[in-house]
Amino acid sequence: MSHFGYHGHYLRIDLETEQVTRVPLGTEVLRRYVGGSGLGTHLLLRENAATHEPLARESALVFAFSPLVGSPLTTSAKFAVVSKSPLTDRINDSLASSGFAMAGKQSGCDALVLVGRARQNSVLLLNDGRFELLPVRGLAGQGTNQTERMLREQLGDDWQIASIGPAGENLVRYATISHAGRHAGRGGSGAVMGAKNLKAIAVRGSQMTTWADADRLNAYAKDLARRSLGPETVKYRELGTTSNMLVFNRLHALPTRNFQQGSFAAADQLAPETLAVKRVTDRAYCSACTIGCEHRYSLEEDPATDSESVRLEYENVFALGPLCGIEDGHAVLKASRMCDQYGLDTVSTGGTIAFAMECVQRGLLDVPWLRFGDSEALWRAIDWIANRREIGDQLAEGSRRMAAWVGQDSLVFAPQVKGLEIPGYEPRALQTMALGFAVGTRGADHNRSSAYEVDFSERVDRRNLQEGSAALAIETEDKAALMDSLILCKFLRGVFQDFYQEAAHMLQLITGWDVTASELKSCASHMVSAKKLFNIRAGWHPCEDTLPARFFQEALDDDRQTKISQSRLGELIESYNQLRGWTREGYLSPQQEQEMGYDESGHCPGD
Amino acid sequence: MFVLVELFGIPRQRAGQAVVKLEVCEESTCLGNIVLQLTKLFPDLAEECFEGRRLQTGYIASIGGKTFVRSPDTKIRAGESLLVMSADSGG
Ligand code: SF4
Repeated sequence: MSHFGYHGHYLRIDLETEQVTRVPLGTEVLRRYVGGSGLGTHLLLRENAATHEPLARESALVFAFSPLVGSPLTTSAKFAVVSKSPLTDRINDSLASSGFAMAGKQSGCDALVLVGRARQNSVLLLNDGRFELLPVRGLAGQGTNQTERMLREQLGDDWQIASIGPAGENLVRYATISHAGRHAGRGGSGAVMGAKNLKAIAVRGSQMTTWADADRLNAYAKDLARRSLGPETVKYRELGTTSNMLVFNRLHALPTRNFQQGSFAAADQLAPETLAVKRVTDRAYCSACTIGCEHRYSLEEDPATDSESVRLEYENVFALGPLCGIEDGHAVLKASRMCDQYGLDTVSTGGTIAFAMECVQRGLLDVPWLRFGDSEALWRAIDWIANRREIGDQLAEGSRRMAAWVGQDSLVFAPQVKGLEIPGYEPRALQTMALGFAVGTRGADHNRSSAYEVDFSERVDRRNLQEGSAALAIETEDKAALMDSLILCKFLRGVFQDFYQEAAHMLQLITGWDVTASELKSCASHMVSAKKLFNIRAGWHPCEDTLPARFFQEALDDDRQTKISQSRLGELIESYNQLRGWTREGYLSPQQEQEMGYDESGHCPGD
Repeated sequence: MFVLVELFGIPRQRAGQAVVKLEVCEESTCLGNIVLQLTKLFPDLAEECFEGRRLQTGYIASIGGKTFVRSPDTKIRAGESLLVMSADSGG
């Protein structure tokens, strides 16, 4: 079947038998799940992946592209990696950008579903749809940039490569998959790839999809590109995401020393306004992006001593800076670079180290060198995590598992929800976000929920959970689900007057479908329910939808009014569930499950 | 009587300073008047972040870091701090 914007099939590759199956994707499925995260969730459900251990050979690892990839639309060169998370044992979808998305789609499929385990440590080649496994030669233990460099030298510059670093090879539960300095970062997809004995995936191809109305698509893309350079994105273009630092600090929303405080006395030193004065900086763009939010800093104040720059984002700076009590910009930059090279998610790395630092501070853990504020300790911990050395072996398990190992009620202050470490949005200071963290299918996550948008608006009192918070959290979560399936960069969101209307317009021009805004709204909501269905099949229980007890018991030192009411949060979770049409506890109703269309074997009649 | 305006991110870049102490004649003023006072002092800030008495889309203000406000008629009392920042806080 021919489709505009799609190839109309995915490749299912069994790494053990080296058998490749081309599986058709029907219009009904594509229209319902669009691409990216949505399509990846559908494919995981089809594989019945919820019931498998994430690091077992049967588990599935999905790379999903989208109808927008390869189009002239700004920020559309993205791909989703979807699997069961070894960190949370729940669904995990993470996104990355650039050439891998375009070459992957041009290799002739809408998604790759990898199952089984290669017999030896390998590189998967996909050359215009032809599959081959090469033994890893000289790549084992190499960092992510170096792996890409070496493979390019070997294969040629027209290949695009996604790889894991030593952390993925050592099955660190929050290892990333990296491409061109960008990372499918959260939830440990790098460990899933490592467990499949894959060091890297290299793709190239020439199979372009076509657009239903190319002329109007070009005109629309030009207009969107123009708007992408407006006031809504100037912050990202000029300062990057690290410009959150001083605002969050002022609002006591900057998690500090493992969420013991909400502001950090040295925040100024880590803000881009200060870092940029002392260092050479430049700006980079994902492929096909007009915004260019990526700000890179030289590691040393004198760049001649170290020529490779470090990409800095708010999440790296918060997690490897204030969260661990680190004041020195150089220390944070070096720690960020280490995480990038080892292939470690910076939020989970910083979160788990900060948790261990608090355990040491409280005398619960006998690792005296692991102290808040000690840069050498931070670097050593990162190195030991990636190599699973000594205490690093426990840290590599993430804060929830580590708390179970430490015992002594340390789970109360382990900074995680469902096992995923909390990003740089202090829940007590941003309480709609707190609700979003609690109910999030992937765990504590600001990208899938985006409820902080509501807290930073006049619609709520950010330090109190309010009646309308559940509906507002749903609104931002649904919007994020669609953006992650189209896939478009979230930094574009302020540009849209009516996001669903414009998303429908884009899809009409690309696919020729008569899709409407209201259809896309229901698709978005359906995608969130599909993720929930996956979790339910993976053993989800309502008691997982909560926050660490610290946030109910302790007010912030620096803002004594802010604590979260546990009972209020419980009420709002019930409202959230009911507004989604689920049971009060958060299960899908039998009717919804039936409508979803997956039987227990993963078969879906829409295929 | 004063209102202390704290600028963050792009507003700070355009104004070239982090804090501005604005004199107000009465017990209270409104966001729109503060925007106009800032416009006189910092034309670059106004060009990027304001539209007449209003904040451009993409910017928001907060009274004392607690309540977020956008309406130009929002009352600001003498002695209060007004924070001006980008509305999008994605990280
Ligand atoms: S805005 Fe930033 S993250 Fe988004 S596509 Fe552009 S460079 Fe990539």
